[in-house]
Amino acid sequence: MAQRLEMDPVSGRAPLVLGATSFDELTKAVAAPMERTDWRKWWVAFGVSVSLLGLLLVSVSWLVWEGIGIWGLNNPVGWGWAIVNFVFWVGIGHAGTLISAILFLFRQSWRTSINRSAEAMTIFAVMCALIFPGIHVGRIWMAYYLFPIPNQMSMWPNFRSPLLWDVFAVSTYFTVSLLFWFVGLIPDLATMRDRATTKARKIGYGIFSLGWRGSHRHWQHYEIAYLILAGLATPLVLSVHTIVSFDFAVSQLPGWHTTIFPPYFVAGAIFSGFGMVLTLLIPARVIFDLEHIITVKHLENMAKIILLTGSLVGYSYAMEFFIAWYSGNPNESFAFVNRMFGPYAWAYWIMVSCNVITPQLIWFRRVRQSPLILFILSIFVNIGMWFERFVITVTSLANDFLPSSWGYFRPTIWDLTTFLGSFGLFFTMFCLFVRFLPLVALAEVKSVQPEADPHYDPEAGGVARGDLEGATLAAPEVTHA
Amino acid sequence: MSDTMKHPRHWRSLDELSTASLDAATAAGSEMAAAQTLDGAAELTVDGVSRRQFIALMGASTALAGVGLEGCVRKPVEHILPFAHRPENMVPGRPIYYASTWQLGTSVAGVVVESQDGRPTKVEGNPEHPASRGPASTFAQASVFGFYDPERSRTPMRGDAPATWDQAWATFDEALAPVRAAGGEGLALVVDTVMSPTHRAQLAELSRTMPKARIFVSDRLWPAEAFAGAAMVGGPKALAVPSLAGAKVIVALDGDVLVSEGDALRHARDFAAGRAVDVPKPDMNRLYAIGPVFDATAAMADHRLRVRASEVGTVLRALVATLLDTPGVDAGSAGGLKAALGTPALDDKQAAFVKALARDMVARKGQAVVLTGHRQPAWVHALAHLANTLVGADGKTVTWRRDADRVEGQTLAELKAGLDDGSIKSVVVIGANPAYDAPGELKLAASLAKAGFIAHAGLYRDETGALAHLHMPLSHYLEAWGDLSTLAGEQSVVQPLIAPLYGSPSPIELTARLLTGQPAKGLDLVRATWTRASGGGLDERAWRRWLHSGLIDAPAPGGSVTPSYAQLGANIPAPAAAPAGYEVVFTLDSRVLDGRFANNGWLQELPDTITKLTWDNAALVSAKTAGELGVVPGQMVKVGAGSGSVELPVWVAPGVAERTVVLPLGFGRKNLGSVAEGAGFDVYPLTTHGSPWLAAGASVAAGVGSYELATTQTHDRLEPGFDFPARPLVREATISHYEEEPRFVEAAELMPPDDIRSPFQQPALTGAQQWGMTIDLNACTGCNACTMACNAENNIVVVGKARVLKGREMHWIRIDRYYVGDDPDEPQAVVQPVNCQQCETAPCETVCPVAATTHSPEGLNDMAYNRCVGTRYCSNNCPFKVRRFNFFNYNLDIDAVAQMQKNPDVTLRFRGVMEKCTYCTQRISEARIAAKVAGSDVIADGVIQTACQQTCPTNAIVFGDLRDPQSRVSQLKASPRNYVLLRELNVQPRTSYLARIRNPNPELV
Repeated sequence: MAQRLEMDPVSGRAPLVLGATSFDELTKAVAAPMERTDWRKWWVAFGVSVSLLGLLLVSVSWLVWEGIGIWGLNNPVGWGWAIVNFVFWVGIGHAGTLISAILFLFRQSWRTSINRSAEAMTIFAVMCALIFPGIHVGRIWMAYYLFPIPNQMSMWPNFRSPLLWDVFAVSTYFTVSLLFWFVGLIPDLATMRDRATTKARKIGYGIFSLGWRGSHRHWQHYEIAYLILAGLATPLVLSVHTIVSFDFAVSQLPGWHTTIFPPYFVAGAIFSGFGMVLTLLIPARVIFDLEHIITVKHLENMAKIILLTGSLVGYSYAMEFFIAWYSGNPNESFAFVNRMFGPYAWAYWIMVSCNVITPQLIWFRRVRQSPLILFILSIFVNIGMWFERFVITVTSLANDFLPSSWGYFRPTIWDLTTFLGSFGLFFTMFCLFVRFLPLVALAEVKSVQPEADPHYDPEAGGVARGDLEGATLAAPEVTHA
Repeated sequence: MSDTMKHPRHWRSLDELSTASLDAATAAGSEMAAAQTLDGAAELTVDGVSRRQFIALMGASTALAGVGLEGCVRKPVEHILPFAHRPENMVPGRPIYYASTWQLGTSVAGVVVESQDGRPTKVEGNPEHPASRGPASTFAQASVFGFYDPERSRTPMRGDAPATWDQAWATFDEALAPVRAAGGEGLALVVDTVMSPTHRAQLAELSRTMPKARIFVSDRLWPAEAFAGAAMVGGPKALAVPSLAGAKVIVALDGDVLVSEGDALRHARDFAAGRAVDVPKPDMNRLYAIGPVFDATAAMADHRLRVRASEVGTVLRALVATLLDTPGVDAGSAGGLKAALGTPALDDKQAAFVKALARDMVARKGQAVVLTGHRQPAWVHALAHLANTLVGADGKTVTWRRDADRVEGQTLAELKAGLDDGSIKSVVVIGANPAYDAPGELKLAASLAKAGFIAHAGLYRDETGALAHLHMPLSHYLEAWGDLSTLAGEQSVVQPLIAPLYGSPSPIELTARLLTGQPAKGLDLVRATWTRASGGGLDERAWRRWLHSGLIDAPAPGGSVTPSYAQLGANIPAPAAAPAGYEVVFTLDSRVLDGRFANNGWLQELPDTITKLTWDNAALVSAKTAGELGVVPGQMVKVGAGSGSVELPVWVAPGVAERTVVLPLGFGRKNLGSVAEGAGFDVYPLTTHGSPWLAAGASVAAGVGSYELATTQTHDRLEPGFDFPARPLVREATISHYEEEPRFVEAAELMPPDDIRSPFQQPALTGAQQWGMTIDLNACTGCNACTMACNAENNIVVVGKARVLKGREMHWIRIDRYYVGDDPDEPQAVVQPVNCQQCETAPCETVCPVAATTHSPEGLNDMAYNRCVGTRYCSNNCPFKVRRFNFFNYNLDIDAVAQMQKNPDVTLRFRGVMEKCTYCTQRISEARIAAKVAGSDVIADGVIQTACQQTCPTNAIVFGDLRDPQSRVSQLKASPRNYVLLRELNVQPRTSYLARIRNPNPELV
């Protein structure tokens, strides 16, 4: 194999793909997970995931049959785990589009190694999220009332309700994310079609690669479409969680009725999304031998984003308290003191520990560069962000204005199975994804290889003379594919 | 044909039969089918087939279908009766109201019962009856639920075998005819509290015709001690009837006299009227409560003296002694009594209380009254009568009369003795349940088993019914003729709303059968009584007038009484030192009373006014006593008293006297019905015959394990915790503060009203009338009648203990109770009914994604159940948390009998929808229709009464049109006491509250 490049000969920065991999080797490395013959481990993972998905189906069926009462909800706590899970999954669904759209517009070429799987994660997370608002309503069979469908009652939904905004925001986000992901997949699907050895694969990939032949015209259209979708997706990344936060902020409940919610929710969403990307990719890069493509450098970059957004979230917690005190509103102040020291203090401190305290370890380089520690941290982030939504949703409802109506929410076994089941859906989709679709955006990774640069000249030490005068190249010998 | 009968098949058309007739259809059947099909086909294809032929064909096909169906699916037989002769005034779908009378122990009040197409659905008070004047009590409201209880006894039982009525009557007559012939030898008749003139006359006749028969009264609601106390000073059958009308100093001695005891309904209205402050020159009454139990009356009191039950008498001795010493008080016949009173040992606080109270009573001579609870012994009642006499109450706030025809009966101890020595061989029990509620010490159930024959008639096959050789269902008052007299002597008729559901006899019909061995009709018996009373001829017009108004305009028999206290000294026990150890006070539970309502789901699920417990009783102790015992709420304690011991959970009830355990009776019933099963703990085994309400020297110790108690509210105070200031939800002031600063309610606002501005222009409410409500916290006693009336009016479901534990109770109007004060054992309490506040800028409406809850032009926050998908967002955003969600399909599989109670004007809610108070929108609609029919667009003030308003004993709830400045509600909203909850949210509630005013004695502040 080729010698290790310490620096990208064209950009003069550390290389994004280690090991001076050729295009061919890249293609083989990315296609390997899909083309392996031994699927036993995959079947185990898939079996576990599908079992959990079955649990979801059972839970939801029982829910529809029996009623929302199988959950632990009560009066005053009208929203419990369903809404917590919804916000949790929507939040996770933020990282992918952020990576592929916003980082794309900012020309962050390191995104190419992780954007495909992050986007897939986004789509699966939003699918999980979409289940909950659907099933948490009391009369599921009437849920279509939420959509502006012309009907004999001449009845529109109530456009003043944030729940309705949610319907539009999340469905738009899901549609655009799916399209964006699919457009990005087309060149890679064509690669897979060309590599296909079975008829089924040939037809399957053939249909979805839309006749891609890699012509200049194709590339031109592709680049424009991708750019437009990136432009469309970028505001959606910010708007979805802003609108989800309106579910709470637009109400008048102490602890919900807060103007800081939109930015705070977006920061939290990105935080949780990157947490989940790390949770998925740290094992995946090992399992699928992609450590040279998804490098420690990538993990480090994501960790930095986690540190930034985690600190933003911590700042928001502090600012909520400050405003509660500064407003002089006793109901508001009580709501926040009650969060810290009231009946749900345990949940609050889990949230603070996982979201504010542990991410601060990322300041240490050794932590940032240790995949194992980052993996553990990412699990904490996931737990912490779930509890953040729990704290916001449940503590505010449980103790509001009239002490006489205060209550305490206890989940039931069905709350738990529905939540676990949503992980079943998520991992089932992810298993199918790794089996049938390239885990890494192959075309894009290739495009950021030194070889993709028109100025690349292996004879001249890697780069065309005169373009990068004085650049020091540690390893002039590059094997050409 | 016979084969078809043996192998029945289901089919819907001839085609189906002929094409699928491969296996089971017989040759004969096939032929018939084929013939019919061919015939029909031939005819139908011919043009101009006659109508007659077509009908004939149809008929034949249908007949054949009937043959095929025979023996497999049998449609229920339905009798459809045309209204060829429509009953007078009966319009299908329109309710009719009938006056009747409700009895609970000695408490009798007129009611008006709503009949929907022949089904009684709702009980309301009779405005013309002096004991009601409009409201019906919580129990009367709940009686419709009890009436349709599917687990009521439906068939007579001979032993454990069901019997027909003919068999049952044959058994009854056969067993009792010899007894009758023997002059009642060996017969014991056990009755409950008899307040019916007809029934009393029957019992008197029984004593004449069967002189050897013995009559026993078995009823925990029979105020034996009160009767004995009155007899001590007024002679046999003397009665002192107190009245709070015009009373300015009211002393409640160990009794919940405003809510659950005796004539509470009457007292509550007079009490509230005497507290009016928004009148010229207000002269507010002052309530002192003395006793061990912190009940609704104690919560209402301006001053409360927390003493143990055994000390109540001591305090009263001191009060009477002080009154006797007061110059200007004429001791009269009680002159020599001072010595018998001794020198009661009081602590400083008690002494100061007694001194101030005595001074207050003397200052208000003729306007003071002492009311004594039924739990106190007879001598305390007698001494209280003396206190009343000394302050000139007789003839003013207390009326003495002789309850001449009262049936006193013998005691249950004598019943036991008679059963044990064999002198009682036959027992007839009518409406009573001695096997359950007799003092546990007597072990009466074991003695009853020795009787040769027991006939029991009751609403349920209860503990006594299970012992009986013959059990018969007894008619509920809604299905029986009768008559009743109040203690004050007002008489009225009980008229049935429906024929007996299960063919049962009423108490008077059963007694008549016992007397004569012949069946008798209740109506005839009642008319006979009143024919006799009218001197032989019953004026038909008068009778009809009585039925219409619900009141008999003839005075009850009786005579005047002048109490004499000369002999009282002998009856007063020598003063004794306060007994050490624990005292157990047995109380009638505020919901199931002595257990008679144990299978009534509405009552079981009703939260107690103070403890907020549902579905259970618990040992109520003060915080200090709980500390001494080392127990926490929910932990089991073992209480030993009398000859028994019971383990039950403990509940810390602030305000209960020290070293006192309050045990509500009436729970822990077995094999009565699914509602009563498993609800609470039976404490009757601890009670004794000598002291049925108090057990001194009881043993109390922490038990094993704990028990989950379902409350609808935890131990809430207005301070939310963490040193946050009290929330201004219930606003109160003393009368002097109120006079100085009439707008004191505004001082409590969290935001200055001028700072509350809306950034939006609210859409105008265009209705000609705008509905609003006021709730007067100065009048509300927290009696729960509003909640119960709402249950009945709005078809509110019972969800059960497990769901109350989860916080899913469905009451549309709840009573919030908050403790006030720093000492957890010397609290004051305030109660606040909270229903939907009908906010003008309702937060629930904006957040509903499907517009299921919207605003009506008349200012109501409407709920469209059909539109609701159940996101529960409205409930989350409701600051008052008054919305209730149908977590399950609570209205699935309602028993056919229980269905009959439902109000047809109100939708039953399906699972998954939100519901809440509508201000009784169906009543508004009804009034609007009536007004429009009468040619008016405006409904006059007072025409619409919400269910809660109508039944409020203290008139605390007023509903009406806010746009009309003359309406009562508008005028009340102009009161300086008027405020809304959470004004700082600017939701502009239509329900507002009138602040509570306390009237403390300046000497005790």
